[in-house]
Amino acid sequence: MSRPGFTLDVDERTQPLLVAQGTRLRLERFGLGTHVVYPGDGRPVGDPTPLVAAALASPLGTAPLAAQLHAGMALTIVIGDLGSPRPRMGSDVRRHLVEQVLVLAAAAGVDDVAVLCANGLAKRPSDAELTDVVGERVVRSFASTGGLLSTDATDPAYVDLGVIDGHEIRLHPRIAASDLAVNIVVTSSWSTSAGLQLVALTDVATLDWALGLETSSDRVSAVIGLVEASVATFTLDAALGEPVLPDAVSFLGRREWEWRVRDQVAFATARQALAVAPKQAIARLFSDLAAGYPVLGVAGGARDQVHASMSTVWTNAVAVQGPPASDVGVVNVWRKGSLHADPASDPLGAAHHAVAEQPSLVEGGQLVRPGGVLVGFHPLSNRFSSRTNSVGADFFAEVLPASTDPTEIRATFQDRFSTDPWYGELYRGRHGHHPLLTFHRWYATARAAATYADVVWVGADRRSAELMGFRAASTYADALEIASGHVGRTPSITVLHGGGGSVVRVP
Amino acid sequence: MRTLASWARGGGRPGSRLTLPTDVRALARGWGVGKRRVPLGAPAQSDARPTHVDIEAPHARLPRFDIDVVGLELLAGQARPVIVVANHASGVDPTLLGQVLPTQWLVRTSGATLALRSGRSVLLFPEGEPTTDGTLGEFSPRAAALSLRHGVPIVPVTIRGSYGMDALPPRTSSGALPRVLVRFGAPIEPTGDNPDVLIEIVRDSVQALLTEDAGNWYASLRGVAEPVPVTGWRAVWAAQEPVERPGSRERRRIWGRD
Repeated sequence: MSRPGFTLDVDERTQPLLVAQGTRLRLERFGLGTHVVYPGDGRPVGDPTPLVAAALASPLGTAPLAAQLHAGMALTIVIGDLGSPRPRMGSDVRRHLVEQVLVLAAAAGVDDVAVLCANGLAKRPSDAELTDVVGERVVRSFASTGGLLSTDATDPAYVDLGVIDGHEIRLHPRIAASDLAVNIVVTSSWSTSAGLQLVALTDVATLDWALGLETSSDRVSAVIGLVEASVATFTLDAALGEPVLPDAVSFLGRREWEWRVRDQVAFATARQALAVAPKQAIARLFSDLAAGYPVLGVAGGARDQVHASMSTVWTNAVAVQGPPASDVGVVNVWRKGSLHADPASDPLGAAHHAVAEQPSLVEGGQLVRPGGVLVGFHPLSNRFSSRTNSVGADFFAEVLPASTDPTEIRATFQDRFSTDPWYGELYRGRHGHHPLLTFHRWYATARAAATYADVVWVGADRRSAELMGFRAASTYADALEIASGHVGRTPSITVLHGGGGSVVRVP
Repeated sequence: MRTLASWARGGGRPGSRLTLPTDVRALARGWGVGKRRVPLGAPAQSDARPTHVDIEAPHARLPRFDIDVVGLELLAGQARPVIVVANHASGVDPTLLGQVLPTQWLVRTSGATLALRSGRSVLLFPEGEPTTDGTLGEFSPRAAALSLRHGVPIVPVTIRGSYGMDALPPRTSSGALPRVLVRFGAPIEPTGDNPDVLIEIVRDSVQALLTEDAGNWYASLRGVAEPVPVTGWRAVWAAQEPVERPGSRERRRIWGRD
């Protein structure tokens, strides 16, 4: 029987606990009374096929998918956010979802089928990445017929959809010409959804308007509404449980006092290997790391009902009862955050994850009280992929030395970067992220950071921290020393154990 | 431009690269056998410890073959023993499959009854002998009879690219190894009580995998795929066609610039 997550209050019997810091592991002794939030145990990974079949046959708010398919129609299967979840799925459940939809489409006689990756501003996927997600059968079936597509938000061929508040919304031409779009998503956090996947089908100007500096839920909802009014959609959503790691690194998912001898040996070995291995080998290790994800449920049908259902299923499965908002919050950054395979690189991604994303997974309150301090464990190494994220390096070198203020950055730098032909070439043809992705993530990071009195990074590069307006500390104790100027010398502290991903319910 | 603190340099260095001796000492002190202390608020220990077993082997490589394996995701969670049934393209097939079958299946190629009783999986070639003309031969019902008797599923597998090889090809320094594609199909549960009927279902499944493999999965679902030649020189010709890398660009670039 899998145990739910829980919050440990550190006492005299508590040994040093595992902390992940980019690609490094360490044991850290936390002070008495520190609240440590542990995620639940992993559940066995089963066969999702029956769940998918049931979702297709008994959808929420619409007719069964089979009844909506017919010969002569134009069908588009939309997938997106191929970078989630992390670690990647060993056997991607989206293959099952896509294949079962195609089986129904084949039976209905649909010949005009396209599989469209709604990557939005994120990099267009490589063949290998797409094959990992949808499977070799699908890639082989459609690659040779031109039915495998990804979005280029800068493409002038996008179709006019309508106007919202004076802003023109434009849509990918394939979607605009489709009779039905089957929107396939997995729920493994609150930051992705079928609705956002529909937004990712719009052009770069719309993405900036809806998700940029002046983003709001009203703007996002308006775009989604316009897309749904233009093309019929059917959403298929699978909620995923906590990742189940391979045996060799299963100690990462176990509670430290339950480590057997083999877990202790595995920890010591992994820590030593990560300390001496070359960066390229470490990057390969993390990109190859795959986990099993139990499928908690699958729902199909109307987008809003499916999202509500799967979001509730996912939240209830991963939620942990936590303490009230603390003076200090502590976040590990290792498996999520970076736009690269190497978790120790991309300091902008690490900051976005630790400051904006992770603390937002809270129900009923906040992880850290306004005016509190956030402590992150990450080296903030000033390394960016020159191919997929060269704009990150330039953002670090040119933009942040000038200003960290989102409004100033938007006015001074955004347009120049987003229209730069080199970044455009990398995005369109070389699997690079669009420059606006970096800008948008910084805006979200800066907005979230403004709620803290300070953000302190343990073991981080001081220059990187300074550039982002944060602090660096050599040790955890030094970080609390820095924080004491804001929260006193006996603050309440909440630590999110592991790489985060749980929802914390605060009273 | 901002004025950054001039002293804000350095840091980000992870510390000592030699961590093993320190960790061994610390673990022995803190968690040695009999010394482990459980925090007061910790829940009771659980014996349920699922771990992820990566059943994928997307690009296995033997010294003299370049093997691609697809379809293993259809068998995720398959914990029971299985009977693996494969087409017999060549004399090297048992060696090839022995390298790519999931190790947790504990596959045997002989002593089928004893193996299944002891919880091991079995690999069988129902055609009996390697094909001489590139076509799929008749299937002996033995695999179906074993499946019905022991209640274990049959996993159809196809091998393409090894046709006609009686022995392992010579080592080559040129890097151009013979490419072989191994495709797994969905498991077939034992149904009914007639092995002749069940083995025909299995044979049809293997034939369907060969058809899919030679062409296009969706087209084969739609029933519009070109059938695999079953007689004559065209069958031999088709059996000897070079195997593409799965999901490759060898037919058409996915994101081709217009």
